[in-house]
Amino acid sequence: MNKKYFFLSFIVLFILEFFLLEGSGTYPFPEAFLPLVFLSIENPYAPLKAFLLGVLMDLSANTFGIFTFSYTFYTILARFLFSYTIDFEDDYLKLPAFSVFDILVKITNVAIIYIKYGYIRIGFISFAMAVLVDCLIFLALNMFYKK
Amino acid sequence: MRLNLLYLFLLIISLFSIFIPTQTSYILIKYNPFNYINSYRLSIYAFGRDLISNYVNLLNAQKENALLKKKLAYYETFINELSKCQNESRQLYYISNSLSFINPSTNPNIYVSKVIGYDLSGKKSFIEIENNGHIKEGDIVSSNGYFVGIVSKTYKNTAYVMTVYNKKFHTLVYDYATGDTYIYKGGYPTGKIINASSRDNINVGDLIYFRSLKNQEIPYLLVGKVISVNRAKNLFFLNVIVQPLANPNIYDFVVVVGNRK
Repeated sequence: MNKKYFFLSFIVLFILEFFLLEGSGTYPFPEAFLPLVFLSIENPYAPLKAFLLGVLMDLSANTFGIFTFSYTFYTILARFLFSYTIDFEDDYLKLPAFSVFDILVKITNVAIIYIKYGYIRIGFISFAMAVLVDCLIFLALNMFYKK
Repeated sequence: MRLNLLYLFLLIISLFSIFIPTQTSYILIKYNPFNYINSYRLSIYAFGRDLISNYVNLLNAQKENALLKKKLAYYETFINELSKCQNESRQLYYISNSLSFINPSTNPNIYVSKVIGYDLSGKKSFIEIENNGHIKEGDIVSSNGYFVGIVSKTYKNTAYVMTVYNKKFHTLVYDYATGDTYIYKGGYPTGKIINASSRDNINVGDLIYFRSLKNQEIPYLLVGKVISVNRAKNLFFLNVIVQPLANPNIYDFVVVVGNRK
């Protein structure tokens, strides 16, 4: 992946993440950095990027450790899985794989928050919308990288 | 191998980071990690909204301001016209007042004449009026029912009116309360009655009217009001001061009453 594109996407997503995409109080907000992590999963240092982006998310959301752990854990897991099973160049598999990845990350986040704080507001529709928005961002970024 | 070690290291760190305590009491009450981002976002939205609404209001205010300026200019001209009309109507009122004091059955020669000159010294001692060719010396000049003066000199197109404020002005007057006839001597700002004897019952507040012995049909035009009566012991004549009521400087037109031939 081109470094220039990565930073450009990072800045755009950062702005989106902070000002446009978060939910209204209930947990599942769209994690816009996830598509970025997923698209650069072929990079050997993708888990490091995921870790840093997770830290950023944690700092912004005042939930230290949650995003960091889920991002890092699932990125490492995905790297292992893809290296053994799926040819990542298959375009039609990218989106379902990302959806699963996204949903798993979100469920893990919800679970950790519930374990850590004993309380969370969660709504099915907002959860679904968050996943949908993440998928849309993923599609847009995918098209962008192809060019 | 190196990468695997890195992954393991990151995983351990992230796992441990879960157990770092945060502000639990705050989160237990209401967990909303994006609370402050929400507020920040809302404030930015509010800023944008205010900016747009202020701009729209400014445009509206500018439009309204232009409209109001036009209206103001219109009303200013309107006020000027109105004040002119008011002045004209006032003058007409003065003239009609004078005319109402004249008995039409006596068939006097009445001319409405325009005032073309005033006493610039401010003592109101004379006015100049337009002469239509019929005004003669000795004609009576009136306005608003008040006695203004007498035409003292005529020229081709103008006539010189000696007013009740003139020091050289003398005439017969009539006290409305007692019916006595006196001689009035003009003066500025007050005139006086010069031949009231100490026996006469003339009082402050009496109204003094103009009277002509030659022509009894001429109306009793109001000359002034007695404002002071000085009863000195050793004087045979009283010192009676009269305030003339006519104000020649405000008249644009006067009524000239001529002798009937």
